[in-house]
Amino acid sequence: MLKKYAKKYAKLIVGQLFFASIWVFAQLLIPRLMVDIIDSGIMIKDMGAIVSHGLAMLLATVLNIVSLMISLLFLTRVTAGISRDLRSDLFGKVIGWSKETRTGFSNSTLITRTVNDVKQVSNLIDLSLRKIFTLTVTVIGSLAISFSLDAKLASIILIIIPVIFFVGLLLTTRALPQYARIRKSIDRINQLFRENIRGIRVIRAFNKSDYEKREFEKATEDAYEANVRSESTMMLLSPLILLFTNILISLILLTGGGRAQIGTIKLGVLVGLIEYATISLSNIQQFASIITIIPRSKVSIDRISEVLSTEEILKIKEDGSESYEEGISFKNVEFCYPGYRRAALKNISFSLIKGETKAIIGSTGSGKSTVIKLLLREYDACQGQIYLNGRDIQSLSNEEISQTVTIVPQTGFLFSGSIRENIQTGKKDASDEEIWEVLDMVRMGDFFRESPEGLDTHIAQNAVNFSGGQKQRISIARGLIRESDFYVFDDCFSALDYSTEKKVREAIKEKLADRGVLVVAQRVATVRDADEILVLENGEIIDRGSHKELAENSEIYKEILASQLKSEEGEIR
Amino acid sequence: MNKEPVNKEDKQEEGLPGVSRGVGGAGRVSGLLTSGSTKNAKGTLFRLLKNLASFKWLFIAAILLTLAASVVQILIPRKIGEIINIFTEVLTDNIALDWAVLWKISVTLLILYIINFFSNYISNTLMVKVSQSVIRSLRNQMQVKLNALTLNYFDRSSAGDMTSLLSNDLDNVANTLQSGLTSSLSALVLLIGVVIMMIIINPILALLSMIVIPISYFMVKFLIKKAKPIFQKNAKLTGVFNGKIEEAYTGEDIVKHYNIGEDLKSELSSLNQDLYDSEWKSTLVSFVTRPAGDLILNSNYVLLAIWGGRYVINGILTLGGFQAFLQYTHMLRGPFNQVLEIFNTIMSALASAERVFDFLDSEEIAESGDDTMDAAAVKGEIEFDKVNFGYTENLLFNGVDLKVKPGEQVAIVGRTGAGKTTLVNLLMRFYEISGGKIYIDGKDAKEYKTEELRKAYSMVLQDTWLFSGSIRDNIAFGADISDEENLSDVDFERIKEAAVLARADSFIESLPQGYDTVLAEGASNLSRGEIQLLTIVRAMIKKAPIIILDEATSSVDTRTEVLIQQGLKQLAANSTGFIIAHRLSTIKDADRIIVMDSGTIVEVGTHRELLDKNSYYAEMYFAGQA
Repeated sequence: MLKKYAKKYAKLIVGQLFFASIWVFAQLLIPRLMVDIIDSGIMIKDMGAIVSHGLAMLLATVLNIVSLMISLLFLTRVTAGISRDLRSDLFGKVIGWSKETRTGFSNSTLITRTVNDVKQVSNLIDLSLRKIFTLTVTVIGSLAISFSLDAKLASIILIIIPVIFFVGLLLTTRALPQYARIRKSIDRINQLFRENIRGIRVIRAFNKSDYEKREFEKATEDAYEANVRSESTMMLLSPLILLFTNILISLILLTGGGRAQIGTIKLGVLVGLIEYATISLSNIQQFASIITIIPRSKVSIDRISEVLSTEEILKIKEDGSESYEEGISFKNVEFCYPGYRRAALKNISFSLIKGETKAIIGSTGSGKSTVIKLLLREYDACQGQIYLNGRDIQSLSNEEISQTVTIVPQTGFLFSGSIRENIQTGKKDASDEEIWEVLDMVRMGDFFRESPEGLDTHIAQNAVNFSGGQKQRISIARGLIRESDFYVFDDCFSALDYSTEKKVREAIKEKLADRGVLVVAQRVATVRDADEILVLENGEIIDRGSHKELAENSEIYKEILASQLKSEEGEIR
Repeated sequence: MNKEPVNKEDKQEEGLPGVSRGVGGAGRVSGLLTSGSTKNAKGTLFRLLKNLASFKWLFIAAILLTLAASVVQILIPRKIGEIINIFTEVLTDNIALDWAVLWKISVTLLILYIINFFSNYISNTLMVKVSQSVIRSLRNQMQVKLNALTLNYFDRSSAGDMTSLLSNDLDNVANTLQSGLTSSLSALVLLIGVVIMMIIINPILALLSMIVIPISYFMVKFLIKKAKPIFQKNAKLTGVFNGKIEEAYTGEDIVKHYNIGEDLKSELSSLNQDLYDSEWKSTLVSFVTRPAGDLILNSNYVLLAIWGGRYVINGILTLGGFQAFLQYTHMLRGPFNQVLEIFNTIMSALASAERVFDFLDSEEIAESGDDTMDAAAVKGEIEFDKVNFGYTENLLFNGVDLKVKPGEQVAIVGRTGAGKTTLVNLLMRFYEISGGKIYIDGKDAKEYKTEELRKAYSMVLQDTWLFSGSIRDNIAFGADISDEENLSDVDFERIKEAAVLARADSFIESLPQGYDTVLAEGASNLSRGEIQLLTIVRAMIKKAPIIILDEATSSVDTRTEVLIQQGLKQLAANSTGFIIAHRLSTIKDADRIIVMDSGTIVEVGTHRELLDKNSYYAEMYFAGQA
């Protein structure tokens, strides 16, 4: 997957690798120059050679730093660039998904994937380009120079490198499963702690402090064990490599020393070889610590790919059937949530034309909201058809649906920003005048008129500075400012007190007199004025009619009525 | 979320002692940027050490071994220098190689290597054990503390802050303990040892190599100061972008059905572009400081090579000494960079530790009596006798009196803030009363141990908390279990029976895995009404003489509510009941209705009686009817 993203930055990557190579070259040149300082300077007492080689070393140092900085300039653009592209593709993909496509992706995991996983992948790219590449080149370079200096001694280094490499690999692969375990146990610890805070009253009410303590200790014990196990393996690595390095140096010294007597080796070469041996081994050590990061990045890559490879399931059909009826019409619709055994809706048929108001009432879980989800094509019905102004909903684009139907959802979700911006999500170019008009309809006009910032009043994230009822009212206003044939109010009066609800409903009735209105509710008071009320029970319309008819003939409706005290919603406020 | 501009990968490298040469050029400056403030550094350090007390010997052993390893590491180049000197003599003076001396030095070296290896390894593993034990103990202490804190603490603090103590601060302490402490110690010892060795070899050269230290230090400091605004900007943009993403995803209904997806995408794209800009800049800056410091150190190295070479030619320095000196210059670099960061790392860890200790020192629930309770024998008579209570210093309850007969069903009504929930909070002893007495069956509730007292109550709370786990376990959570039992030991028949009674069985069975369905954190896979049903089932499984329902059915539709109430009635047949609700359907059947207003009981009577009285209750009732 990353290849595709890297392609765009091929030039930058090539540049980065080029300058990183120069950087390594300069880095390796310095000990090589030291060899010359010793052998053709110090040993033959030639000060001029020392100074000239010293200056060359200084030059190499500057070259080293400059090429490093240039390579980083390229690198940071690549990593930040790929992060940006990934993020952009992720939100580009997710925004606009239907709920059916979203099944299995919670909001929190989608956010984590767009933010944290991208960060993790960018770390991986950074490591691959910056570290893994340079480490490899450095090891190879050191070996090459060593061989050019003295092939026999260099072969000692060559023999010991694979040994260390495999020891490192062995230790790392042994520690890796423990790392996964650590992450899991830390997640569990945090989750238990978070839940303990949230559920503190419930835990105390049911005397479950000891139980929580036991669960928590299990998790901390697990984290302890995994940490100690992985670390005592990994802690072996660096002392071990240090030991190998030291032994390698001694071997070079002793073998080289034997030849000093015969005069076949120069001292500078010996010193240089020690230097290159040290460099190679410490690089291999760094390799080992990097490897531990790769599996974590792999998980992130997989999680991102999963989102990017998920295509919208609900395609727009070219050849949808047509109906001559106007308005919204459901024809024998049956629906089952993905993965669920029971049908959520069975044999749903109804229609709604402009100028009409219809309502759906029913218990928790009766399927009211599901009807709305199908109407907005969040899911496709398993059987039956839904028509919007005569066209099969499956042949309409999201834009066409949204232009025909305005939904006011249950939750009263608001964006952070000003109240003006929030209302304008309903109508992009709405004037202040229009905004005040809809705010007045939901009885929020005075509230904002009294606020010193007026329409610029800030709404915080999650609208924490507004009550549930206020949020619902603003959300209704945002719906009312839209222009469409049909309006759906999905249980969005639930947090309003009775008298406010009544006023808001009256305002809506007046404003939308010539439109089609569908109201979903639990309260009888909310639906009683509708032209037709559909009573939903276990996913089926069991009764339908006006309030008066249902109050006489429908058992369920009568029960609902009775539970809400005579004909009125009874609430003590 | 993820606002830290630097990643942690370098920390790992720094933690590994040993040869710090090679490709470590592009270091980063995490430690230097994230220092915290500490009120009482000494006290906190002392307390942290006290937590180490039970591992005192392990800890001391680890420290001693670290010291040993560092000293040995300093000696090694010196010995190698001796070998080089022998070779120099062989080469320049043409004398025979003295193998005996060479072997002697080699054996010494080998011993040093082995000492170095074992002391490094053992001290590392000891430190892992010590630090992990301390962290485990601190984690457990924090969790125990959680359940010992007064509820006022939770009212005051945010859950996010508390979790951050556990996940960030404790982590910070752990990392510093595990690698920071020993590696900074060894860095310090190396630094001092190396300087001494350098002075021994050649004081003038040593002085020359010291000069760069302050220069390099101030340069890095300067760069970091310059870099700070760039990091801050990046952190801020990251926050803004993440917030926008969160909204775009959670507000999916509006985004999709108001067709603003494209507008939102272009807004996000421009934010994303800004973020890209600040991200590469801040990463670059974080990379650049170390090589800038390296440039100075490297130039110095070259200078020393030339200067030292001259000394060798002039016979002031041996070639072995020259080689050892350059080795030491290398060795200086790693610890030097580390020492730069140590102070900040330790200070930030101490600041974290202090926050953790502050939490551990917070006020705990008051001591209670230690009488046990036989819940089955409780009749359920409750009496409030001149009870005083306030969440703050202002009293909400001022001499509240109330008497409830065994088996009586009492409804509590009143406006928001009238004190309805407070009344049951005090019954459950969630908060301590500041005056008066509460009696259960005529006995002062304070004489019971708190956990024993709560055995008398079964409660459906206003907050509908469920934990992430199976539905079955969540229901079993309400049952009493012993210390050896698990939630899975609770009989399934009991669970099912309670669910049927609360009208939750049919929806549970319709879920893909039925009772074994695993709830996500926050039970996001259920509707609000379904969550509330489960909390009712959870309370129903606990058979207690007194039942408290605090807005138990507020999210359930009225018709289902009636059905649930039939179940509750069956359950509560012989129990005393306290019911808080605002729906009349819930309260009108109660034996008595208690009307509360700003902490006082204003009226008591049945629905009819209170309506006839035509006062406070009647007023509320008709206002509700509008």
